[in-house]
Parts: sequence; C-alpha cells; structure tokens
Amino acid sequence: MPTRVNFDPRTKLIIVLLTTLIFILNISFMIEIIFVIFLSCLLMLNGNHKLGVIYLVIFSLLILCNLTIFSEINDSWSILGSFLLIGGRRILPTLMAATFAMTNTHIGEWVASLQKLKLPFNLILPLVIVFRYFPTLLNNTKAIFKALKFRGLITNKFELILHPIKGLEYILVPILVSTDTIATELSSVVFIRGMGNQMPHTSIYANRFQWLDWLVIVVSVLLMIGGIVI
Amino acid sequence: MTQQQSKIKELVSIGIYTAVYFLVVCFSTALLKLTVPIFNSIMIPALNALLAGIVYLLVLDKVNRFGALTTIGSVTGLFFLITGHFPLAFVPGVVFSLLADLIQYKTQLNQKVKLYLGYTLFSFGLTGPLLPLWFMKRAYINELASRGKSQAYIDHVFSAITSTSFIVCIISILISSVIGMMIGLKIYRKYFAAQEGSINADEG
Repeated sequence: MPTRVNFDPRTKLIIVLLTTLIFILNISFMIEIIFVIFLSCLLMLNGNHKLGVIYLVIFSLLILCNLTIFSEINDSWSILGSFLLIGGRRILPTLMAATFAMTNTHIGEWVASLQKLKLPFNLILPLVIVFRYFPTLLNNTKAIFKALKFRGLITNKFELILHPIKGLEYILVPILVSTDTIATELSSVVFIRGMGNQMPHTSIYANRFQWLDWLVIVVSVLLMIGGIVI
Repeated sequence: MTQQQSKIKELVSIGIYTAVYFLVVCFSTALLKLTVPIFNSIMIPALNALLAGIVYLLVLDKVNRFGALTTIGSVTGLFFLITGHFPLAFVPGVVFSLLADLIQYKTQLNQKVKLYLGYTLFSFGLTGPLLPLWFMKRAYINELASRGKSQAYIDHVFSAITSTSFIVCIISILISSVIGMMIGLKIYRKYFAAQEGSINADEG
C-alpha cells in the first residue's frame, strides 16, 4: 500500500506545538488516548506505517503496566516506577509528533516554509548549515577515531570515556581546526547558489495548505479544546 | 558584494560551530544515558558545560560580533523545536545566550570575568530540556490525587525531589562551567592562541 500524503511542513510544526501544549495542560485520560490514536494515524498517512503501530503498542503497554503492576502506590520503589511510567506516557506523544515532523520532509521544503513564516535569514542559514553539516561531522568523527586507533593513541572508545578531557582534546581539536576550511568552502557554495540574495526566494516545492492540512489542524485544535473543557 | 560574502561566511561559521556544539551535547547526553540510569537529564547541562568551553572560546574568536552567541542559542532551540524532543527548550536557549552576548560585548568588565560569567550564563541555556520533568511531576501529582492520596502525603513525596534536584542542578552547572572554561582556555592556549590570539585571557 504505497499511499502517502504530503503534508505541509507548517502543518507539521503546528502539530508539534499543539502536542507540546497538550503535554503541558493536564488533559483527561480519554482525550489522551484519542490524541495518541490520531497521531499514529497521521504517522501512517505520512508513510511510516511500521512506526505508527510500534508507538501504539508502546502506549498500550505503558497503560497496561500502570494499571496492573503499579495499581497500589505505597513504597518508594512503586513511587519511582509509576513516576517513570507516567512520565514516559506523557513524553510519548511529543516523540510521535517529532517523528511525524522529521521524516519524509525534504530540507528544501523546510527552508521554503520557514521563509514563508518570515523567519530572519540570519537564523535560517545557520539552521540549514546544521542540517547539512551534521552528517559530515559524524563521518569526520568516525575517521578521527580510526586515525587515533591506527596511531595507537587509543585502543577502544571506552578509553575516551575513562579520560574525558584527553578524549575531548583528541576529538574536538582536529574538528575545530578543520572548521575554518569547511566554513570557507560551504560559504562559497552558499554564495554560488544565491542564498544570500536579498530578493524573495522561489522554491520548487509548492507548499500550499490543502484540505487535509486544514482538517488535521482543526481536529487537533478541537481535541485540545475538548481536553481542556472535559 | 564582498561585505555580503563576509556576512555569509560568518553565518556559515555560526552554523558549523552550532553543529559542533550539538555534537558535544549529543556526546554528553549519550555518556550520561549509558552511565546513570535514571534522572540523568538533570546532569546534562553540567557535563556539557564541562566539555564545551573550547567551542565557546572559538566562537568568540572567529565571529567576534554581537549576536553570534544569540544565534547559536536560537538555532539550537529551533533544532530542538523542530525535532520536538524538548520544544520548550527554545525559551531558555534564547534568553540565556542573549544574556551571555550582552555580557561579552556590552559591558566593561575585566576580560577574564566576562569569559567566565558569559560562559556560565550560556551553559544555563541547556536547562530547557529539564522543563518536562516539572510537567511530568504535575501529571503525576494529579494521578496521585485522583487515587485519593492526601495533599500532605503528596507534598511529602515531592518536597525532597524538587528542591534538592533543583539546587544540585544549578550548583553543578556553576562549578562545571568554571572548570570547563579553565579546560577550554588551556586547550585554546595550547592549539589556537598562536594562530588567532584575539582573546587575551592571560593573567593580568
């Protein structure tokens, strides 16, 4: 079933924010269950069928544990355990919203949407660089590990945890020395691609609200209002 | 045109340093998740303050302009916001990095005092991820109340956890950011001071 709906990144952002609000306000148990089911439907529509089911299973397991094992709260162990369970149940919707936001959205779509939201260019460009550079950074770190092993300075990664300051020096200093070159290269790339242009940018991503986006937003707002009232 | 080019280079450098800072955050989070089983998020800002001193120093060195630190704080906050892990982390991230910026560039303090004070404030920007703990606590209290526990009992359960953890968190950030800045300065003098040398934090 290859059906997949393209949501506007702004819808995704709104869902993340609303989920946070719901996480802060104390909503009733019924609404919480409905909201989690709603989020997993969104995940499935977005193309992550497996994840949507996994999150639902985790949620029901958490509720089950809470109702059976920790139905009596008297000693300190059950206090700690039930605190962690309830906390985990509360955090789960936020994680689901984050998965919904991060997966199946191209970075160009994010840039186009953030520009439509009138975010300053001084914030968008560093954010794009973070997204673009972070995978490279992880690769570089792996290469540094290899080089350190090759030269016999460390034997395994746990040695770095035992001597954190030495590890910091060995890992961070090469990265920071290389940043200067990388900054020059990336800034010329940015310049050539015309991202510094002052005029409004165009994008190949249309990013318009469709009826499904409106529907999702209206339903989640209604759920939140219902959660406050009931 | 060259002015715009240099501005773009500054912004790109800020992005790259944010990524490096984020790597340090990930490293300290992973380290704590592996070693301390529960309530480890309380210690994340402190451990991070211990490790990230050199990144802070190099940002001051390379992008010596008001606004660089604020941008890093806001971008880290935005990254949190989009990934949704700790959406409320946005607020302390912006506020504390702005304060650090103000201290670095708008006050007439001694250079050394500025460095230590600014870095301590900047480290507090990561306290945003701790906010969920407080909200989880409220949800838990509601649950206890609905099970018919008395208010006195609930207060008794939580009085120790909140006040001690809060104070421990703040003091640990203060101590470790001072130590972290010392380590950062040491590494800076060893590797970077000869190349750049715009930060002069030697005794005197």
